[in-house]
Amino acid sequence: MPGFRGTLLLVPLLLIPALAAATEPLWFSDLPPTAEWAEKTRRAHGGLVERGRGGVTAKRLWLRAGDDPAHAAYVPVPAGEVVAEGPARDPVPPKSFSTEAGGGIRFEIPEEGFYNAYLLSREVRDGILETRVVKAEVLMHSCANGHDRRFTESRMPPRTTAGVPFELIRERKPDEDFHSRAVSGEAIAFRALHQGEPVAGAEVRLISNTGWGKSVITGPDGRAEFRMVRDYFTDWPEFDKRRRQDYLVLAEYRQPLSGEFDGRAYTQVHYSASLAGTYYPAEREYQSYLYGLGVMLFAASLSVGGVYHYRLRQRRPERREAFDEKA
Amino acid sequence: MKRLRAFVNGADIQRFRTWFQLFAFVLLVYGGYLYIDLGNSLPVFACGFNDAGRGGVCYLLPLQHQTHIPWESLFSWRALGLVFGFLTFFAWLLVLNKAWCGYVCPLGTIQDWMTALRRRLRLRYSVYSLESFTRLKKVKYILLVLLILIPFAIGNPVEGLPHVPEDMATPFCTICPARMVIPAFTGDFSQWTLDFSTRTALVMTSLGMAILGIFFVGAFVNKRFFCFFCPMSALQALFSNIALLKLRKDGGKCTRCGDCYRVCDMQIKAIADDVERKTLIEDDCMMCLKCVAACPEEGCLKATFMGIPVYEATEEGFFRRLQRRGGE
Repeated sequence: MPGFRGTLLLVPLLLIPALAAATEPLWFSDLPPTAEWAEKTRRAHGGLVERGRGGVTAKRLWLRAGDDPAHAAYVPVPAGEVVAEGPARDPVPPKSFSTEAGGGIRFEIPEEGFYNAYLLSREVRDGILETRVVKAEVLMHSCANGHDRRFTESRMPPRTTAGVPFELIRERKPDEDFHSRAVSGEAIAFRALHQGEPVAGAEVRLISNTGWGKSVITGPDGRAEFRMVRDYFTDWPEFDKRRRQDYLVLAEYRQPLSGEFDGRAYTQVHYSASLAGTYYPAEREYQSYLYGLGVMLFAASLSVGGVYHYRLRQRRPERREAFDEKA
Repeated sequence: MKRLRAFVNGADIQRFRTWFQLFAFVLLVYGGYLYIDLGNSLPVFACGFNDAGRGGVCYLLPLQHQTHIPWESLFSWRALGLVFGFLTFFAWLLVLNKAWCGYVCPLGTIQDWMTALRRRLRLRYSVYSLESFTRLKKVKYILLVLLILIPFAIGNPVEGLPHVPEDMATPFCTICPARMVIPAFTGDFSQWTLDFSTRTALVMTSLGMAILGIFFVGAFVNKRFFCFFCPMSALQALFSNIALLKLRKDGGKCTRCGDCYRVCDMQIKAIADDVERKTLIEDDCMMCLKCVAACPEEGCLKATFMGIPVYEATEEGFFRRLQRRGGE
């Protein structure tokens, strides 16, 4: 019965992504799993996008499992509710998709600003209500739509979505606009919110692209701040200033609360939330003021010398010829 | 109406220009703080790198972005951006013609301030020889062609030929002194750096900083030094003949005294020599109208808008200006 034995071996292998998805943190990523899928994307200010129906920009978010941003597996979408909201708080209907390479959601992003997309799931496990919120914050910006500062400012503040029990929001920097991006060495802050209110005592963990991580317990303001480490080191000829690196933020919060869900009793609610983002090498890693000023001063000095020399040459000495009147 | 005309024609255009330039400078360099946005197709160096304060953006920046597209896209919806960008630029140009350079351009204004400083320091200014002038005039057209062709070549790599690096996507902006000078007026010196990330970026930013050094010295000793090389001036020149604001000359009234040439910051000789052409806007002209103010011949030089004279050379105006300056 070799065929049957083979099938028996295959079943657990096929179940691995699904099992992993049940226990490991889930998060959304716009990085496609294969080169074939990557070909369908193009770069935009908010990451990778696709062309939707009628030329409308669309976002495809892949579901990934694991707390290693660089190597997390692509998994199918488990049972749960999928919600998305546009920049003007208008509901956007996301469509789940499933492929051999993985699964996720896709939705159109016609308007400028930030979209929030969620995968919400709840289940009772060992007497605990596991409430999981997988969130993605998606930016849509095209320079062709202009850069009206008032409009940008109105669309900058992070938003929560009604009905989402627990979520992470990324705080904005004071001068942030649609072109800003997180860079290594810079502080980046999040807030953990329970029913839209800051929650104290939540554990927020940030994991960088190379697996570096740090945990923070939130205070009464629900805030957790991290400084993005510089973790991109390479030989200089290979250095890529546009190198995209993913970070993953996970938050957990437990609440002693008894109840029943789907006919199963629980005595505690365990909330978990995820939010992924990207960061890039900081400009100070590859730019130099000193050399810049040096080149400028050198060129200016040469120019001054050139002008001075030219003027000196133009100043011809007075010619005098002596005539011998007696001759 | 007659009195109004006499008042305008006798006005000190230089003083008016100085104040107008200051107003335009504040509008384009600090306007962003007041939520002013005149769009991104302006025919002047309102630098897009001045993130915080810009009240509009120079057309050359989006032009380089918009030409950075594959050939096929030129015939798709993506080309609409290019078309609308150009139409907006053209509409702005249609109104003020090359007076954008003389009255609005922030980089031009900065050069005028440097000239004023030099004059206060009683330093001598330089002029180009006619030969150099004729040669240098061509540089701006070469820059204009390159700033369109290079981004287009990035979007359309040809097999067998070396690929143009992505770091040259906005080639002119990288070497334009406005990228460093204008944001500096809002306290932003982030552009004053060399980029060591790639060889191309290093070469381009080094070139940019070297040009900045030359700009500071050049603009100090030579009036409107950078304008001779400005590709925006070249782009404007292509359409200046159909704009509404024009500089006209009545050759029959010209005595070839040469006053107009002597006051011209751009060393345009044709303004004095040419008595044939009716419209006299050379590619280097910035329509500052100094020539009109310096002309003593009644109606010889005039600026017209849609054919209506708005500023005209008059004998009375000439002598009034002369008296104001304490001349004989």
